[in-house]
Formats: sequence, structure tokens, C-alpha cells
Amino acid sequence: MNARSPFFRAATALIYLFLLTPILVVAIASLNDAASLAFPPKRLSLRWYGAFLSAGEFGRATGVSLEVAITTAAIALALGTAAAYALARAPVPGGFVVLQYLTAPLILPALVVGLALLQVYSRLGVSPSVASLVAGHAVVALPYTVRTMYAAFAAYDGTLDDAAATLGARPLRTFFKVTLPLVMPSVIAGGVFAFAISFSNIMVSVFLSGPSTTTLPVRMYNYIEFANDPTIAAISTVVVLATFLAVWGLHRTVGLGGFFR
Amino acid sequence: MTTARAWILLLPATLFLVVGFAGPIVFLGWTSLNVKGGGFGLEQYRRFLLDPFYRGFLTETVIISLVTTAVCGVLAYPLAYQLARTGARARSFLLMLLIAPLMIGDVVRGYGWLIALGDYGVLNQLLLAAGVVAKPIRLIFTPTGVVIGLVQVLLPFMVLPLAAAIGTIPVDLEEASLSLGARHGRIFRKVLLPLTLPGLAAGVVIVFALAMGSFAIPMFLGGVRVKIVGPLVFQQAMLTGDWPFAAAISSVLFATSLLLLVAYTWLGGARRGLEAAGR
Repeated sequence: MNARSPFFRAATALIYLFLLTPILVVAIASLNDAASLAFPPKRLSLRWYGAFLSAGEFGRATGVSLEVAITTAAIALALGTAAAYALARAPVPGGFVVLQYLTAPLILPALVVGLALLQVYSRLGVSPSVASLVAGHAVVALPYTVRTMYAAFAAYDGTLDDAAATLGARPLRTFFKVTLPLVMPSVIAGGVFAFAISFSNIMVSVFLSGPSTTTLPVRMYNYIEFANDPTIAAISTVVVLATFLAVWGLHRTVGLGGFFR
Repeated sequence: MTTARAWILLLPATLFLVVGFAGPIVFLGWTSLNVKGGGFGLEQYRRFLLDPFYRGFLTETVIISLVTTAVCGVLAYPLAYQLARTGARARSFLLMLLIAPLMIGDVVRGYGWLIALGDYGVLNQLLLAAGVVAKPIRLIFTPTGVVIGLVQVLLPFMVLPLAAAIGTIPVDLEEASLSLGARHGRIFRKVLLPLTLPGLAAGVVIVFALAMGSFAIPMFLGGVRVKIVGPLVFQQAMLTGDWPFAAAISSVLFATSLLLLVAYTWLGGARRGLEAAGR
């Protein structure tokens, strides 16, 4: 392959365009004045953004999703950071297997996680709540924080900890005053990814959402089932912009190179 | 840090996955063995794997997943190559374009494809206006539509491991081949492809497993006409209320993915062992 040939560049640009197609299409559709998804839009307007903001059901669903995603990110970060630190910095027999186990939900179908938890909840008489939803989301989000933090701790210069210890700092103090500040970029990256994975999740939520804990993706999905106006396109565009802003923020501050390994 | 302390740090995450993941999956397996009217047996599995109607779901899902994986493999090489051979700043920017769609979620993207590929959607309007087709081509609610949606969703999972694999190959190898007169196509076949097989294998396993377990994209783009296992699980569990059957289908899905994961891990471990022995 020749990365400098114009043909190669055109090909990769086309593939990126393909990757961005549904996102661009949604943004254009959201500006369509008509109550249909006709393309191209004949008149532009922002009325569907108004419809999103004034419909209480979507506001409530957004609130539920934010609450679930923030709690999920916090739990996944705490569990993932502790586990990754141990795996990367200590001789753990069978550590490789433990790492595989902790990151397994990345490949194993999330749909099955949702259904399995629902059956356990129903057997134990647990009614749908934010907490029962967070449990499922944290399972799916944990691999992202474990992987990000494992990469960070594996690349971390351990002699800094030794120096702190020589100067009399206890392990806990060393961790919070030396290690953690140095891996903070990865903590932020892992947290953002865990948040995004939870916020956009449908496969687990579709099983675990209750009437009062309907998440935004589930609410959107149910709406699309019976209505065909661009309200969903407006919501989607807001989600797309927020996500790109967050990922762009990571790109400018932390860099996304960690995903490359 | 001592091993004992390490285990204390590992305990919360490990226990959490036992309670929230492994335990419920075992319970799911137990549910799947329930037989109508009491007792235990493999009746649900027999129904899923032997009844032609339900077996059709498995066959179509496997075919669509295989095609999706193959298309991803082809499209991923140029992106991965560019990612691996470019400067750090450009790489971070390209990663942003790859990762942001990944974070946006299946509902938004499924909906976007619905608008893009619909009978009077963006693509058809463009084709009609350009005079390429006389009447709209049918893409949604066809296997092709599902494959298009799945490729877009899963392509980054193929690109990232491939790019990592290409990144470990010294550029010198390609330059040496070039100076010895090899063409780019030949270098790809004789140098890049063999050396990136481990990365390709990783991408293939991940993409195939995720395609097999996909839900939202086939729901939007397949409708009821394309038979995919994920939506069938949802329908059996939440609409029909047949939990043992839904559990059996899920167990088959789960076992397939687990088998792939173990095979891949084992292959990876064996490779590392060989490398270590070679050194």
C-alpha cells in the first residue's frame, strides 16, 4: 500500500465518509421543517429541537440516562482502576486470565447480559430502578476502564513510587499523591468512555428499563416505532454533537493514542 | 506490592462480575433447561436448532455476520495502514473520527441509516436525481441493508487491532521490498498480510462476535423480514414471554462468543509462547 498515492487517499476519505454517513444524515434531517423525513429538506427550521425540549418524556429520559451514566462511570472507574493497578504492578499468578475475565463483557453479547440480569431480578423480586440499571451498565462499561487503566499502569515508571517510598510515603499516600495524578489523563479518558458506553446503551437497557427508569435510547427507540417526524433526529444531533465535543476534548488534551495499542 | 494486596484490589471487580455477569449467565443456562409443564431437558435447544423456522434465524445471522466480517476486513486495511503510518497528530485526529461514531450508540446510527437508505431516503433520492435508477432500490428490510449498517458500526473494531499490528512492522521492511523492485500489491501480499494476521484474527473474532449478538441495527434495518437472532431473543423474552426459549437462544449466542474468545485467547497465548521460545 502506498499511503501517499492520491488513489489511496481518496479511498480512505470515502471510507471515513461512509463511517460518518448516518451521523451527517441525522444532522441534516433534524433541520427539516416538514414533519416527514423527506430529503433534501425543502425548508429549514429548528422546530424539532423545540419539540425535543418541550416534550417532558424526553427530558425525563435524558435525566435518567445522565444519572445512570454518571453512576456507571464512577463505579466502573473505581473497580477498573483498582483491578488494573493490581494486574499491572504486582506479580499475580494467572493475572492474564483475570484480565481476560474482566474484559470479557467487551466481546460477549450485551444482549445476553441484559436478559440474564432481568431473569435474576425477576426471580429475586427486584423491581426496575436506577440501581438495577446501573448494575447491568457497569458490567458492560468495566472492560473499557480496565483496559484504559491497565495500559496506563503498564506504561507507568515504577521507580517514581520507589522514590516516594524511600522518602517515607506509605503505599496509599504514594498512590494518591504520585501515581494517580500521573495517570489522570487515562482516568479521564476511561471515565468518558464508560459514560458514553452507558449513555448510548440500548441492549441492556431494553431489558432492564422500567416505566419510571426509561433511558433516552429506549425512549427514542419506542418513539421511532410509531412516529416518523424529525424529533428523534434533533435529539440524535444533540447526542452526536456532545459526543464529538467530548472525544475532541480528549483528542486535544489526553490524545487518543491509547486506543491504538 | 505483594500478591496478597493485589488480590484485595482485584476482589471488588472480580466479585462484581461474578454477581452481575457470570452468576446471571449460569442462571440463564439453568432457565434454558426448563421444559414446558415441568422437568428438565434440551427441548428448547432442539426447538431452536432443529425447527426449520428458528434454525433459519441462526443460518441468516451467521451468513450476515460472515459477510459483515469480510467487508470490514477489506475496508479496514487502508484505514489501519494510514493510521499506523501517519504522524501522531494526524493519527489522533483520525482516531477521533473512528472512535466518536463508536460512542454515539446504535439507536442514533440505526436511525441515521434508516433515513439514508429508505425507499425515498438520501441515497435513493441521489440515485433517482442522477438518473442511475428509474425507481427506488430496496435496501432497508433487506440483508444488504443490515450488512451496511453493521459494517459501519463494527468497522472500528477491525481497524484498531489491525493498525496496532501494522504499527509493529518496521517501515524498513516495505522500503527494502520496494528497493528490491516489489510492487505495492506484492508487498501487501508477501509482507503486510502475513505479518498482520494476528491483528486480523483479533479483528475478525471481535467483529464476528459482535455481529452475531447485534440487536439495534437489525431491529431498524432488518425489520421482521431479515431473521436475526438478537431481535428474536428480545421478541421471545419481552413480547411472547417465553423465557426458557429466549434463555436457550441466548445461551447458544453466548456459547458461540465464548468459544471464539477462548480460541482467540488460546491462539494469542500460544503465539506469545512461541515468540518467547524463539528469543
